[in-house]
Amino acid sequence: MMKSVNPWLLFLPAFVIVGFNAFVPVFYALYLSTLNFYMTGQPATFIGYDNFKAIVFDLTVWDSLLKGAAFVATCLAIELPLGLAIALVLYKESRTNRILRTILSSPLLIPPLTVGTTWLLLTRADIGPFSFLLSKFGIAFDIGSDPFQAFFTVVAMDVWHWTSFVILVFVAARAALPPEPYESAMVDGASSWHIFRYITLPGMRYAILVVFLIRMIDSLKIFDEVWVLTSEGPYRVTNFMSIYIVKTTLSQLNMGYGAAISLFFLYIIIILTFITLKVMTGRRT
Amino acid sequence: MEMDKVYGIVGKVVVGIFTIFTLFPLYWILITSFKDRLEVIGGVTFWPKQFLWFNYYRPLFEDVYAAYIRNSFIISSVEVVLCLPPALLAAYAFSRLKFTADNHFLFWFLTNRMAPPAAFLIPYYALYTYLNLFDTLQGLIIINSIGNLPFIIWLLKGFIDGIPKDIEEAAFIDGYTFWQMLRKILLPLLKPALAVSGLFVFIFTWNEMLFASLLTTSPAAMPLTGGLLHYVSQLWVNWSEIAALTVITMAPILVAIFYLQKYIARALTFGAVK
Repeated sequence: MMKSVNPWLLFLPAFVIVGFNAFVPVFYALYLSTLNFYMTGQPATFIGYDNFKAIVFDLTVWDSLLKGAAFVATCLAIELPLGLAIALVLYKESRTNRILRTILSSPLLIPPLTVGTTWLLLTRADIGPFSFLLSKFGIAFDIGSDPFQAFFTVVAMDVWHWTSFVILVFVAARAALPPEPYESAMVDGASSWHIFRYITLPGMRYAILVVFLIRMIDSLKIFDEVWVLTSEGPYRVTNFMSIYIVKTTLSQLNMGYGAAISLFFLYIIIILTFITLKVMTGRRT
Repeated sequence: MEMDKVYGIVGKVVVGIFTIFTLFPLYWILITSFKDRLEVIGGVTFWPKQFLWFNYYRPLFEDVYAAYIRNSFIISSVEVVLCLPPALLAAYAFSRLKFTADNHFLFWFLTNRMAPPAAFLIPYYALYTYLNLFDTLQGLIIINSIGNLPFIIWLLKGFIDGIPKDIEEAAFIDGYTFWQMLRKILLPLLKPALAVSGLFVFIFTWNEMLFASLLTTSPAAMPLTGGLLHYVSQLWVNWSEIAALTVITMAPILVAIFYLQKYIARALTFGAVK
């Protein structure tokens, strides 16, 4: 019926472009990861899988993953409930709600780098209003030296940047729920907590799961804004995987080992993406 | 009913506080961009003593930042033109046609979108030096499609899924070839979808920083994000100018958000939530 065009022909241009961009670097990284190779002019030597063996004993890698996991958990624990609460206030169509949703989503798509520079100006110990205001309460605020403050400032920045995404998705999901169950619950005199617990929450389960997974992956690979704000941070508290990879590349010029941890991190993200996609498509079919 | 009132008030308070939390950093960056350099270093003021346009003027007209803006526009625009046609064709194939392992390919596209850019830094760094793509506009345009193409394939697939098949079938019965059908039937229907997709690609390319800052070095190729990062990384910095450049870098995107508002949820969940 629709046999007038070969699907492979339509699919090929995109495949070639993305393929060139993805396969070539990945295989090249695989090759680099077998070398003891510093970009300092000395010739590279083949060392087999020693770089991958080194990952196992590199405590900084495991520490980075742990810090990343702590960061993701903290961000999600704040963003999901907060986003849900705000979405349930703002989902109804009205002029005010539309304006508020637009205002709240303003940080969402701006360059992550500018999120970083904005928060840098806000939170620097010497010029930022945060340290100024907190000093009035006798609190010394310096994300350059206090690991606890540095970590939670980065979390606050992520909440500022991404909660609006959670809000928008939940608004869409809540607006798509059928009104009938709510009407009959009202007739039965159900409390608003019960309505939330037994109608809204189950109805939005899928949206919550999708947001959870996407936000998890995005936070885990966070780079730009953290690089600007704290870089690896005091006591390496914000030394997330992306930061560690770039640091290894730039400061040590250790290309072989850098390539190995790049591939290691890439695999972690690919596995998480695969789970996410399984969840997302499992529901459709 | 008593509790409902409490929930209502708490909800409004949360929204109010969060709105202030959202707006304050934007307000701060805006007023800082007008402050005198010494006023910023001298202490915290919540309103500029005087409004200076010089923080915008100097980087643009006495430094090379105008060239960075030009590069950002060129890279982002060409990226849109480069990505839309192949993405449209692929999206159509995924939406309407069956072929071997089509779902696997669709998955594979998205893994590229989700992959951490930092993981590609080392191979690209070495590869681009070898291919003479280091410090070129073409180099950044090519590299950006790794995430953008998969993204709009998924987005456009969702839009094509929403168009009834009957329209195309009627066109085929009328003797249209595929390409005629594409041009005369599908393209007009997909115009808004293509505009939205293109705008997202523009934004993501404009926003990209890691490759922009590490694979380019000269004003001939470096985009705005790269330039701003290099400025921030310097030892001696003028915070007012950083604020001004931040405003310049985010302003076009802030404008675009108004237009994209109702598509953001759909786009950023790859069509999972409409």
